[in-house]
Amino acid sequence: MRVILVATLAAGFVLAGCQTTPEDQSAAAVEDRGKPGAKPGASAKSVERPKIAAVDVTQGKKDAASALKDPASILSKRSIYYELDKYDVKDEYRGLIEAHAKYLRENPGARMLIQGNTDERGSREYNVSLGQRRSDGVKRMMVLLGAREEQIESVSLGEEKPQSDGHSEEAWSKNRRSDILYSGEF
Amino acid sequence: LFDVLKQQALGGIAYTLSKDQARATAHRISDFVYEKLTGDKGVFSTRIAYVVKRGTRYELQIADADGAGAQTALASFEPIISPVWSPDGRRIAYVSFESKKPIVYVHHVSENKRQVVASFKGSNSAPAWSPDGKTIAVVLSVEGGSQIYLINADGSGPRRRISNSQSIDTEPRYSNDGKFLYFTSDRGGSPQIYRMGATGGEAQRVTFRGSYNVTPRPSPDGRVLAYVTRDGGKFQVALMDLANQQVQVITDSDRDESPSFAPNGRMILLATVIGGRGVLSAVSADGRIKQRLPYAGGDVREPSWGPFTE
Repeated sequence: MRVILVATLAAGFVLAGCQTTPEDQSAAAVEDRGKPGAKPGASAKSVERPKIAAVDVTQGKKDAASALKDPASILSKRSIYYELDKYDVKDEYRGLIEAHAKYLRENPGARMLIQGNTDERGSREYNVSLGQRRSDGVKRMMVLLGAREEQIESVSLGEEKPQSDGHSEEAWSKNRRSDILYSGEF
Repeated sequence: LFDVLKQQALGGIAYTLSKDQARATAHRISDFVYEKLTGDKGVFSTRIAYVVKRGTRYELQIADADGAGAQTALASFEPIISPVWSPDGRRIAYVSFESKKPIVYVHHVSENKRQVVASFKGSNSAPAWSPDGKTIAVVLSVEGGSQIYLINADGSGPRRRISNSQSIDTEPRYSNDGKFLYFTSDRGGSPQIYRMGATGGEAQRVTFRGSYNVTPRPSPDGRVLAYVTRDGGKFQVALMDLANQQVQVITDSDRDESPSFAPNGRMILLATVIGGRGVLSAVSADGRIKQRLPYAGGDVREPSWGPFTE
């Protein structure tokens, strides 16, 4: 605001002081208004429209959000797999969880849903609870790594949404998992 | 009879099933019932609910106990589990995954409308009606883990937590006198069945045989407890005489789940898998007679036998 005011005042001085030279007057006015930072004339050389350093918060978010889907980024890896009857996160998935926790730390507006799953054996409701143990474990780890509690919801799909439809140990091992989803995906 | 529900939130369509399919099932059930329960007209006027999966589509269906008149109460592209009839036979509570997480609904059957009764942060599942129909026990993960809470059946008021362990507590079911809740817990290291007062408190363990006993379903007369036991990798339905704790395994397949007593206590409807397909099985309470009830063109599971409605 102040900048504009000064410029206007300066223009006023220029105009007032250059009544007998219409060319100078109009040239000065045009220059003054048209180019930020341009000097309007000898009598007002202290006035400059300072350059505004642009802060574009969209670019960073776009980059970060696209990393979530970029196959080359660890953030596009969304699944943690488990041994039978286990819900602790194996060491091989630590890096993945750290990467997602970092994303949440750096993007406070980001929201995550973690869905825990089991293989098909046994009671459906007991499997909802087992899946919950798995997603709770991932959430707990992320919060310990600096994500905020409010950013994450951990839920369970039990045995209801298998990744693999088979009935072998190979299929079952693909179904014992936690899946990470971000806003827009749920 | 009532109208089919349009599942508007999903943009899906609900349609009436072709009667042919229901009739095939109906004849089998009615033959079975007629042969074995002659004169027991009570169950003919009762209804059953179950879930059918066909491809990517799930339907909660309600039919007469003889299988006739199947209608779809909910059609969804996401799973539906744990349907349970209210004691007055007018409502069904169930768990739907349509919002990408489990949420408990109560469906008003003849009015064809439903309401959400438990949609807290985390998972909401395993509904069970109190005998007076006013309270629903549910399992919530809102405070971490899986614990048992009571909510008002109309969704009003605050939730009340009644289990308090660091383990999984789930699958609550009221005793027929409403004084106790049977439930599944792994507080002892493996999933077993326990019993506690209907408002919580100390729990006593009920099952001791084997390392996996789940899904407690007390009989209508309160004398017997049906449940699912795992033995050598096979999941089978067992009955425990609550007076003397004697156990009898009444099925011989290997993927049984979700036993549901007929309101006269003389038959049990359960879900099993035969030849890779989900089918229902009706078993007499003494285990002697079994009848398979497949659903043409789909997998059927999660049966719930409705009450007598006078």
